[in-house]
Amino acid sequence: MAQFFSDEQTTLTASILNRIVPSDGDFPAAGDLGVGEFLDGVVAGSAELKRLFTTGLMAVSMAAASQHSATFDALSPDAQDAILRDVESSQQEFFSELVRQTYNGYYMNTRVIEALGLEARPPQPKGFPLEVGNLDLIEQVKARGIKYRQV
Amino acid sequence: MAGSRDEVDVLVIGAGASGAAFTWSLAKDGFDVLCLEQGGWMDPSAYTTTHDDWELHRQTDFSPDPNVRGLDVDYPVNNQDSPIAPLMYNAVGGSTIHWSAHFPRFHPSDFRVRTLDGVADDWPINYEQLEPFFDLNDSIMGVSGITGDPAYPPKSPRQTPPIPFGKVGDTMAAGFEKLGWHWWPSDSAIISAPFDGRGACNNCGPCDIGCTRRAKASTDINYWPKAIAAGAKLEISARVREITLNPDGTARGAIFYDADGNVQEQRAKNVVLGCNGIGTPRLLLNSASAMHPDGLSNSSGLVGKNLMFHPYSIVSGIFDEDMESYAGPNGCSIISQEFYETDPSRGFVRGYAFQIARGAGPVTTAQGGMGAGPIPWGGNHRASFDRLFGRNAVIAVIGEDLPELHNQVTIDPELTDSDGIPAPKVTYTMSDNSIKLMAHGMARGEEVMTAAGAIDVQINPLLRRGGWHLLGTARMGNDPANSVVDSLGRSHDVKNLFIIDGSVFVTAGAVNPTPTIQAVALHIADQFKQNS
Repeated sequence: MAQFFSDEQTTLTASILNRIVPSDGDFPAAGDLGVGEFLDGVVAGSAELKRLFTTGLMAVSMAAASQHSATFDALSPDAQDAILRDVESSQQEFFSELVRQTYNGYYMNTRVIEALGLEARPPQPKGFPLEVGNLDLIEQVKARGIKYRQV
Repeated sequence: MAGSRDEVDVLVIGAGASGAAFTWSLAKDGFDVLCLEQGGWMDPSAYTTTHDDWELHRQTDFSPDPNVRGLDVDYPVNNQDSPIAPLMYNAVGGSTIHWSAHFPRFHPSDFRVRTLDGVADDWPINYEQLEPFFDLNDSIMGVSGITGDPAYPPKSPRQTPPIPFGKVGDTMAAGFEKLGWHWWPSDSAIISAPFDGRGACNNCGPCDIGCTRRAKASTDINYWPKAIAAGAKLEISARVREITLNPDGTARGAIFYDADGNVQEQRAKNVVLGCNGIGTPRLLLNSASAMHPDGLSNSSGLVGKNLMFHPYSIVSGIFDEDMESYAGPNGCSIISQEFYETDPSRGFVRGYAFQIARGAGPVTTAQGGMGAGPIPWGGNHRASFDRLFGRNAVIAVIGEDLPELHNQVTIDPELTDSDGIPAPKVTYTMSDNSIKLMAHGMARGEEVMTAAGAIDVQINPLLRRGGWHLLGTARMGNDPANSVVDSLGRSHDVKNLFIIDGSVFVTAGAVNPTPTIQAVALHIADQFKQNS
């Protein structure tokens, strides 16, 4: 159950997100992954984002209707991308928030993190192993002599 | 006024890097010290590095930019007339809460730029005077590193061995060696082995959102417990509005809002400001009175002037192999000071340093990290992300900007904090010397990235969210006409008022300033004790 988006906006958002981050191999598309739910939660918490997304989503659906007499989700990927590029330049603030929040929701998703070959866990408490490195090399640096200016 | 309290000998305002060191130094020798801090105590176990949404906190409640965080304990900063946004944290520990703990000292030449290069001014103190305080500070903060760096006079033994290089550090070191350029394992205020009851770093990466292991030094976990055990008093949620004066012109104390929002006056025999290079001039300018119409301690007109940030350029190299670059303290691996000292043949004076930083987590990588913007959406997204994530190394080119009167902190006519105290505005432009210096640094950065084997190099010429270092706005000097405080940190105008933070810096050097800020604070504390 969406917190802010209407049913129509939920469908539209999923189609848009599938073009922001399309599927590729092991990586699901952002809309299919359910990033729209994350986005809905973020937008619901901010009056400014509600305003931006209401206007921005309307611009996308109106472009689909006026240019193709169809809903956005019924268009080909190329036609969808063309509309999104138009909206990216006409509604910059909306679009940059859309992309930012899509990346936020997508790249903290367990399936995506595992597709990247990582364990799906926060940095702590486990941390990461790290090679100490080749400290012998510093002898060569020393051999090149004093590097600071005498005063 | 709700209340007036018992007078203290020394009132310190601000519990960050400088205030903590100063308070500890006095308290351990039996002085009566009270510190007022507008923020509260952090709980290290609550830092979000253990949360699944850890990367999002960087964009919201743990953003380095107080305007983005917008917490009640923060004050807004009008940064519209500056290409660099000032960054800070307000809590016990100050900006050591969110810093990356890169810990290089100033060089001896940094204190003598007028004599050596004919620009700016010499400091009234020098490296030799600060040396014992650098070492003392290291012993409290806990520094990992290795002695023998030919870019510095000899230092005391480091508390723990260097932070592991990882593949990023190893690869970049090999690049520097290929060119025969200086590099060295970073001095880092992050312990690589247990020290002083604190756990060793386990290379989790995002130091900037707080260290649950207490491996990263912050003054709330090292100086403050020691200072309080020695008898220092620390009052949190206490936001100072102005410094008050006695009829004879000496400082009488401070008026502040307490945790309940009540106005209080704290009287003191001495008042000490450690509020950073923006907070300190803000407080002095907000303390204007009939006796000091242009702001307290401002007979020179230099309060708020000569703001220095250090411009940062980001040179990001992409490698054709998995470097696991998200692992390891994000700001600390190796440094290079090949181009630190002046070489007139380069067409500019002074210089810059390279700080080798690591990659970021998945979300921050997608958002573009410290680069010029997010990676593209659409059909190219997957390929763009995959060639970057875990495979990039970053050179932060940190340049010395010179003190200039037009770069300044003033009081914004409209903006206030949540207590209604007028907020600061910063105005800043890069000088011709800085522009040439940074261009040189970007070109040399690209050269060493290529030598290290990068298949692609991307450059962000000026990092907007890079104003970590707030310096120069109440500078030190012997001449009252040309400086705000003397070599003892004492105001030329108000004899029992002291400034101990980065505001007193005469020049900025080309390294992260915290070790030097703290050494200066300890030097001022030492002189204060001797003269009391």
